[in-house]
Amino acid sequence: MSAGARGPLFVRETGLALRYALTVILGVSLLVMDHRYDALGAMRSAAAMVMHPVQTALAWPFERLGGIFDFFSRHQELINENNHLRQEFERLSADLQAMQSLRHENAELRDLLDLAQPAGRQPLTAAIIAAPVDPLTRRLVINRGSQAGVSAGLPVVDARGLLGQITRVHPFSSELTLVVSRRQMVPVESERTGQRLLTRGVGSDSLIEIPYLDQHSDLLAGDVLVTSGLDGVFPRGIPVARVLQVRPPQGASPFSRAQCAPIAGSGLNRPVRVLLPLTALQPVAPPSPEEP
Amino acid sequence: MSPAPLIPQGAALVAPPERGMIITSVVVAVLLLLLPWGAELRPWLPDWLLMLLISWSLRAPRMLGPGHAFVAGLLLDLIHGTLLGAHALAYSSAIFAVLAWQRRLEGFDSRGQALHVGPVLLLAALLPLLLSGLVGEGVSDWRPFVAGLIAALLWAPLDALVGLWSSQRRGLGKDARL
Repeated sequence: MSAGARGPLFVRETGLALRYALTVILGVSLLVMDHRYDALGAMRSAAAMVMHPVQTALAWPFERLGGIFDFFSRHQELINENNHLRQEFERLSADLQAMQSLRHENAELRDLLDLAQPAGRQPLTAAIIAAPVDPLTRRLVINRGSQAGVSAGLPVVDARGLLGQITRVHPFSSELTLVVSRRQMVPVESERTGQRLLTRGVGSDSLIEIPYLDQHSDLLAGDVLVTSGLDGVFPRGIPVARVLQVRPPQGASPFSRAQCAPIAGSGLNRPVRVLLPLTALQPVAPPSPEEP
Repeated sequence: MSPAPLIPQGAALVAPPERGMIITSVVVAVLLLLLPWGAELRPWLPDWLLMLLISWSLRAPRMLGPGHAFVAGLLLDLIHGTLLGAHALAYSSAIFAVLAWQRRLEGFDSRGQALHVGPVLLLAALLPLLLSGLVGEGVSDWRPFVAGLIAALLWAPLDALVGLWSSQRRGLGKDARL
């Protein structure tokens, strides 16, 4: 390009298409690098470092301007906000009253629950380590096994309710079958009326059903179902499910059906508790002064 | 000194716009981009940087190429925080299209040029969305489409402004058109 003021007559330069192709290659590789390898973070932060002061400087007059408008709109806004806050305060103090009474009630109920807790059960905390993929039976693997005193048949709960039952025990892990797994039955009773019922899993984490329900029974949506303890497996009083809706008999069946939502978080990865019988932990301690 | 001729003579007749003007206008456009547009307003904004680049590339095809557009697009990617390369590719593609047609477009008046440039602007507004969709970070948003339409509509006025500035700055008079 050094052929004088007029420039050369014929310039050898890279063609338009080639230059464009180069940018396409560069652009695609940038896209891939940025997306797949996140390699351009340094470039981004450098650019942000350069641009930030400029942006701040440019934003400054607008903020000032906004401040002036704010000053005029502030008064009405404050009045509105004050009214709103006052209403909110009244509502909240009413709520607080209600909450205090609820808290007392809750403490009483909890005492009651403690009384009703199954005696002779010792909770053993365990963590879920695997969830085998099996659409028909919902199982979980936990990190406690026969070495920790776990044996087949023991109930497993989480912080909210009944989760399932140990079905297979290995030395350092065990498998539990969830109450929500298909065809898994749990004997329960309605907490409100005490009526004995049987729930059955349908294979969904969020639904279990009561398949054979007397159509005249007093079961309402919102009723909480707790284990009845009649099977000798689950101790009494562990929350299992909450009734969602009761359906009248359909077709030739004389039974109603109820759909319930399980209370325990079957799909969640939370610590669980195995309810060990006390005797499993101390096999010979209490009853054996006279035994050899 | 004799009075300036009615039509520029000699080198001024074919001289492209000065590099300084292009740089100044691009810097102003970038500064405008950096202004604190609100989050609600920003998606609707036409892409004035690309509109400006197209305008200049029609006037000075030897000064602006896909490479320059690529760098400008990269800057836009950095400002907007989009995937690096998305706007860059859109920009270089748009400038490539305009430059490939530049000889033909020169023969049109402002409206004819706008009819050609409009679709280019619209496609350039959609290409970053498409690209980020291809690599799996896409969002379904119809506002960039509207922004592209706005850009297509506003290109002719912007081009007229650029033309006015460019010819006045170089003392060519209002009627001279490049």
